[in-house]
Amino acid sequence: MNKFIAISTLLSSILMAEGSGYISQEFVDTTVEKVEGFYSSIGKDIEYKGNIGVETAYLRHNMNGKRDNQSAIRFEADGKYQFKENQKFVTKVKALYDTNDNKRRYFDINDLYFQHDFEDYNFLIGKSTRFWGAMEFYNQSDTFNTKDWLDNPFDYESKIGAWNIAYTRFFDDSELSIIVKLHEEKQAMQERRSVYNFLPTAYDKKLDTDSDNEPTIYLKYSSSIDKYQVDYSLIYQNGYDEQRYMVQKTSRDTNISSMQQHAYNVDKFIGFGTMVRGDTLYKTELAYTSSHDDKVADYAQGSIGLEHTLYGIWNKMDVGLIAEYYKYKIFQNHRFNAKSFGKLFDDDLSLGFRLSLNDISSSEVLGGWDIDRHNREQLFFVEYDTRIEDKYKLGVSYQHLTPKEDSSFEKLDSVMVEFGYYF
Amino acid sequence: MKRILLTTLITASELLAMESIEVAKKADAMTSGFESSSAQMEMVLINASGEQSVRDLEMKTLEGENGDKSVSTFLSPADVKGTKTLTHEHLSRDDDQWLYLPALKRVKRIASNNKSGSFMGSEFSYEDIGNQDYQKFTYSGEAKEVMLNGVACYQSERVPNEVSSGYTKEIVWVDKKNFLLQQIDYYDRKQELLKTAKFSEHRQLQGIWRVGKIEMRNHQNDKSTILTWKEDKIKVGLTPREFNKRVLKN
Repeated sequence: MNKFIAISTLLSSILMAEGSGYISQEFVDTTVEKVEGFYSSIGKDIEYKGNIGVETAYLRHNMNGKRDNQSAIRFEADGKYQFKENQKFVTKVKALYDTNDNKRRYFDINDLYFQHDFEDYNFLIGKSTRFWGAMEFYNQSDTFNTKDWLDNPFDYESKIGAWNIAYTRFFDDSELSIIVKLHEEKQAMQERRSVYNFLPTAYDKKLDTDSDNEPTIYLKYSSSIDKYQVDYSLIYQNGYDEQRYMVQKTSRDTNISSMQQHAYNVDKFIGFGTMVRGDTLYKTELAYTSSHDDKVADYAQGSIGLEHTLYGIWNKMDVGLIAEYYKYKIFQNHRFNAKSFGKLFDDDLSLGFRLSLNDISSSEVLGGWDIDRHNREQLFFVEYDTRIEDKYKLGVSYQHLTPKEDSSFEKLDSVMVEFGYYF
Repeated sequence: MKRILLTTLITASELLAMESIEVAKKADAMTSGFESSSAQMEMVLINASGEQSVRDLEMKTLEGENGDKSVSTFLSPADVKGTKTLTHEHLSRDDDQWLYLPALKRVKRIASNNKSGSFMGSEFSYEDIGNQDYQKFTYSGEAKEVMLNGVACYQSERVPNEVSSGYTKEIVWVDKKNFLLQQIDYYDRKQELLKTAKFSEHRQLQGIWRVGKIEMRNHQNDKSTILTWKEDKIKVGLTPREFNKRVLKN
């Protein structure tokens, strides 16, 4: 707003001076200097970055009526306006335009918040995304944001921003946060012809809740034990669970039935941490959830893993070897379990590697193999990323999914190519 | 008389010769005392066929008796803009190091035991970029007096104390006149010459000597990296609070 007032004032001054015949070269020079000074002062305080790119995927499957390709244009941008030394506005937007799937034509604001930093605490209000967790492939602790299913549903890092108010108090080696999530976000799904829409019936993104979309409260404590190179966090959550179950709803007007997500209340206790020993990073995530819903069992989740890095294996290349195990255990057998929620990581072993070529293009290969020990469901993937001419990035990925034995399809292969311009 | 003269000459020669450790201490003293610094740096990566790639970064450092603390923020290339590393160095144990990935808003502790890993794909390793405190090395014998590119230098040999170092020995050239570092030859674990770092564009800021440019050449893969300080300020009043994990997400 200040920007518009300043420009309007300057323009008015010029017009008035011109109209009165008193405009001079000195006046013009001073005005130009003021405008330039104004823009440079604003410019110094604004940081931005982003990318625009295309992605195209070829999908091989035996699912009737599903498309075998998916292409889209993607735009992402982050902006930060530090208008005082300790106050800032942050925004992050994402836009996607799919050539076939009209559900995947959307614009989302994932971050739009104001943050005021004080010496020992800070205060945040607005829409934001957060990351909680320690594991590489899947984070049981990452419960704050709803996942964006319109993007790749296997990409657990693609999230929908949540409206929240947060207060964080900083101590020497630790911090304590109180976060109030004000609203539960709806989760839209790709259209029926997409292979990533696994539902047998129509889906309505309207969210059904136990109570009238009450706030969810998080109390988070994070600390480090430097002597042992340990970082850890403990979280207590009271409010809506991150996982939701499906309910059948029939429209009164059209009498058409569709599936809707139902959000239920829980008390959840989460802990995650990492420890470094030599060239190895050890990690764990643990959570216990007490459900307030009669249909959902109380459940515990746990994961342990390690990442061992071998440096300079050949010509400066580094390789990180990753092994992780995930478990989901319920405490009331007749109630909903992990499979009821479509959780892939309920009794899974994941093995992977990250090869950093350390070349001038920062090329990297990431590969992983996830096996469900119970039903033999398997997911294999390999991704290659490289930078071209400093401003462009190319990514190629392959994914193979072998579903559980009683699944409606036999396999799903996808090859995706992404090319983007970064600014 | 001849005997007295010979004894005097030997004594004078002994007085002039310097132990390698003394040279290292004096060289260290020339660059110590900056308290804290803030620098804008440019790193040019050059591969064997001459192709170049530029990275810009901002580095803030806090001098400490038991090791420095530093935060590096990458400003370019655009896809890694905002990526930060926070390092707490320790003379007696492994450093603490965290990486912040802005796209995921994730702070990740990284294993920093092996110092020989490449820093951002460059020919610099993490131990080359880190504090070069003389106490991190073992020196032996007297420094040789040699000429290096027309500059009279002390040449000495040092061995990194850390077993996780990527080097078995380093040959160091220090200007005799002002004790400023001129060149280091790094020898790998097979005792073969791996890299040479040439230090230049030294300048004095508030009585403290600062290096302005380091050219690192890898003899085994013909790649090189040039690190240039585009802007360098010292005694900028930074405090330990600005090297807390909190700064990574700001």
